[in-house]
Amino acid sequence: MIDSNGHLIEIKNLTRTYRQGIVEVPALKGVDLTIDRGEFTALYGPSGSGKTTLLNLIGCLDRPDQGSIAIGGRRVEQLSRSAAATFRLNHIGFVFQAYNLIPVLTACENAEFILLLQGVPRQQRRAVVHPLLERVGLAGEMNRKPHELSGGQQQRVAVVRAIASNSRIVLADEPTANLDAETARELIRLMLELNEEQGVTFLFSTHDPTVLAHAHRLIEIRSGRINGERSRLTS
Amino acid sequence: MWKVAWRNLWRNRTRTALSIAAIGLTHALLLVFMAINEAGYQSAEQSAVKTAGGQLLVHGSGYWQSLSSRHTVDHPTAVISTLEGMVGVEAVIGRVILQGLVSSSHGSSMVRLAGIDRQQEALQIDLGPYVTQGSFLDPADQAANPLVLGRGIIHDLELELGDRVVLTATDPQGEVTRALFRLTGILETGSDSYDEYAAYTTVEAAQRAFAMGERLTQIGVLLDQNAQPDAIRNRLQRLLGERADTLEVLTWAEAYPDLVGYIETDRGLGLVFAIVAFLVVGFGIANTFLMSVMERIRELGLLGALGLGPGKILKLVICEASCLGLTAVSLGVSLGAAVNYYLCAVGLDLKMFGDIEWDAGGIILSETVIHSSFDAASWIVASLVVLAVVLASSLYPAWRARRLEPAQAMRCFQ
Ligand SMILES: Nc1ncnc2c1ncn2[C@@H]1O[C@H](COP(=O)(O)OP(=O)(O)OP(=O)(O)O)[C@@H](O)[C@H]1O
Ligand SMILES: [Mg+2]
Repeated sequence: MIDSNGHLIEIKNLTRTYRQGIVEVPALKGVDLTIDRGEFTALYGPSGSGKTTLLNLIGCLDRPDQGSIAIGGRRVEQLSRSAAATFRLNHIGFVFQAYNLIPVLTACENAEFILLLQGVPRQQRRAVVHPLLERVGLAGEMNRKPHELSGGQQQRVAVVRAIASNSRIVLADEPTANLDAETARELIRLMLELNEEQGVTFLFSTHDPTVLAHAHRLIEIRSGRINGERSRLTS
Repeated sequence: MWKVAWRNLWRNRTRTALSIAAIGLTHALLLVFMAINEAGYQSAEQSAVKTAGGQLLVHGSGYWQSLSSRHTVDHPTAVISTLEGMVGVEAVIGRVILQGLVSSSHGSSMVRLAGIDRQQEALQIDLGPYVTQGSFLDPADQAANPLVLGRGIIHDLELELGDRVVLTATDPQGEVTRALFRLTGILETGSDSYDEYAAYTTVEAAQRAFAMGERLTQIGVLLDQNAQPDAIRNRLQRLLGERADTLEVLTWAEAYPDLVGYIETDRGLGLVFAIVAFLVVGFGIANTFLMSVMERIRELGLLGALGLGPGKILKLVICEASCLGLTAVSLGVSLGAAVNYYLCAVGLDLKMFGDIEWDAGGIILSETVIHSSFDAASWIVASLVVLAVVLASSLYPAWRARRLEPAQAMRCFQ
């Protein structure tokens, strides 16, 4: 995608305040952050601290009041809605907390949805998605609709969708919050393996300490500010 | 995209099925209505032409206004041969028409006496089958002055076949003339007003009895199916040259403007009816689509988050509407075609609904069986209009979907 020098994500003085009538809720109060290629980073912090807000801004789902976001050297904070959509389509994979999948499509169709939107021909889509689905242990569930899959399986399909398109960044907002501890750990281990195998950069938020334990880099966010950071070699 | 749209549509089966049924049935109803009305207009036109006596009518100038026997076509043979030489003219029928009075010992009754040539008249309408007693001016019965009267007159004057009756009318010179006729047939068309007024004799008998010489009152002209009455009228007037001044040439529509007006009003009403029906359906559909968009805020937000641009989200909702519209219209067309096919083939007998008198403005609607006609062009237009209504009603919901901010939408129901 994007030029290979410098940081993959470079955020400077990012501020976002929600306005509801006359009430102003400062969700981010000047965040500086850099993320490099291939990182496996967790954002953590109490509820309401601004994790979702930060991920949405990085994912071009929302616009900041101040500050800048550069992804692969490209400034994205002021993209128009449709330019942002195109940027997301080509560069960013998302995994959300729940209801990640399009209900009317099968697991396989969901996994290849981004490729479909990118205009990749069917044969090629299948060639990319089938091995990945097999890799995450869903070989037998490819033709099931989302409501026929367990929560963990759904999240795995979403992860496959996020990496299938060759997006180099996967943003995951509490991907494990709706899963039980064991499934959550499995999912995070899977993400970690894909991170190592495919070199995909993961940035995810979580409350869950066992999930956190797998992250290489932990960023704590508290009432809209980065409060601290720890690194870990490998788990 | 179309696949997603199509499947989205069938997520709420009941709702979609109901919408499709509502649009489809309305559409089918509209199509059948249209076809029946069109067929009705056509048969009314045909009846009007028959009653008028031809697509074109040639009279002595001033006749149609006054219906007075003074206005005659004076040297008809020349006019007739001119007409017969024209392209588009199928048949030329000469008639004598007089307003008169039939009298018997029991009283008298106003009649419209038509002196006709039965063979010629039969080219467009043969009243023979409606003559229930006696015969219809059969050349075989030798009566010198045969007369066929409507059932109503017979009843009023207490006449019987073979009776002699006196007919009084004004001749072209303005003289009131009486002549003796013999009742040779009784006419029963089923239309009371017609049967109380109709009297028929031969052209020759009428000319003889009322000192008309070779003069005629009316020359009815039957045209080819594709001939334009107006064009032929203009051509005829040119061919007649100076004689044109002493004659009036009317198209059937000019002769019976009421009927033309009636058809036009009816068409207008049909259109208004269709517009109202589709406005109602349109708002219903808009509501349904809006509901389906609002229910799926989160999901549409997800599509947005994945990189489906606002324009494409708009398109998705419109695609859903198109799928719905196309399905509904196909349903409507097939249903409409089936019903219409039945009507074309079998027809709907209005007599089923009771014994109604079928005459409008003196025109006999001899057909009581409604047939339907199929006009592909108008069906296509109607179907496109319905599609357009469905699409239009999805525009607002689609626009709402387009405006969704993915970040906000994703927060819903989290
Ligand atoms: N659309 C919004 N309108 C107004 N305030 C909002 C909106 N979204 C978030 N906020 C507020 O902004 C702050 C940060 O919210 P955010 O969702 O980023 O927190 P979070 O760290 O993701 O919390 P959680 O762990 O509960 O998901 C909160 O105080 C929240 O109430
Ligand atoms: Mg959150």
